[in-house]
Amino acid sequence: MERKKIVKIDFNKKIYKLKAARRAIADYQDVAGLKFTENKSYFQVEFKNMPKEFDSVIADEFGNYILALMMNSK
Amino acid sequence: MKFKINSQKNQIAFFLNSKFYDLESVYGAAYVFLDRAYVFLDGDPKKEIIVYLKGKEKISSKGLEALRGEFYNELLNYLLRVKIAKRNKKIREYIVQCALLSAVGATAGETDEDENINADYKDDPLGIAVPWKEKK
Repeated sequence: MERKKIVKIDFNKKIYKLKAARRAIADYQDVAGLKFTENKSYFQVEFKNMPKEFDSVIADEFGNYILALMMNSK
Repeated sequence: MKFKINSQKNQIAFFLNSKFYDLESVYGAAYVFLDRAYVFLDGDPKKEIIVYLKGKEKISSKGLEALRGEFYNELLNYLLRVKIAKRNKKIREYIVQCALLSAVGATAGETDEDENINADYKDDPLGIAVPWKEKK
């Protein structure tokens, strides 16, 4: 049985804005299964059920997307 | 300047001293690279910011170093832009304020003129206007 890939990324709260992250999560809901958790310094986004052909880039693209949202919201 | 290359991940990581590079400029430089690389930021914005650049296409070690160099150039570009924007903030605000005020003034002027035009028809300096009722 094939194991489904799960990717987790920790975003530094001092650098990444929570509002942009929440917006990005909402926008990516249709692309993959996302789970959001946070602690004092970081918020973590977990990616599940990603389309196999894009599973290596979705998390990285997501990181870029948050940065783009942060710049565009200024 | 220290950096680490991870060829397997196609990634370069380097450190920016926050005394010289503020977070605002780092965001600006990162934004420029979004179409060429995956950018990830970490660290402490008050001490040291860590930048991870991961190539979207396979890049050699030298290519990754060149990418880092370009990032530094872009960073300098943004530092200057942020500095100039801060320095010129008051004059920009003043120019916009003047532009808005003159636009409001022009609109107000047009309204007065319109009222004058409408009021003109009542004046009859030559006495040629004949009321309807008197004609009968």
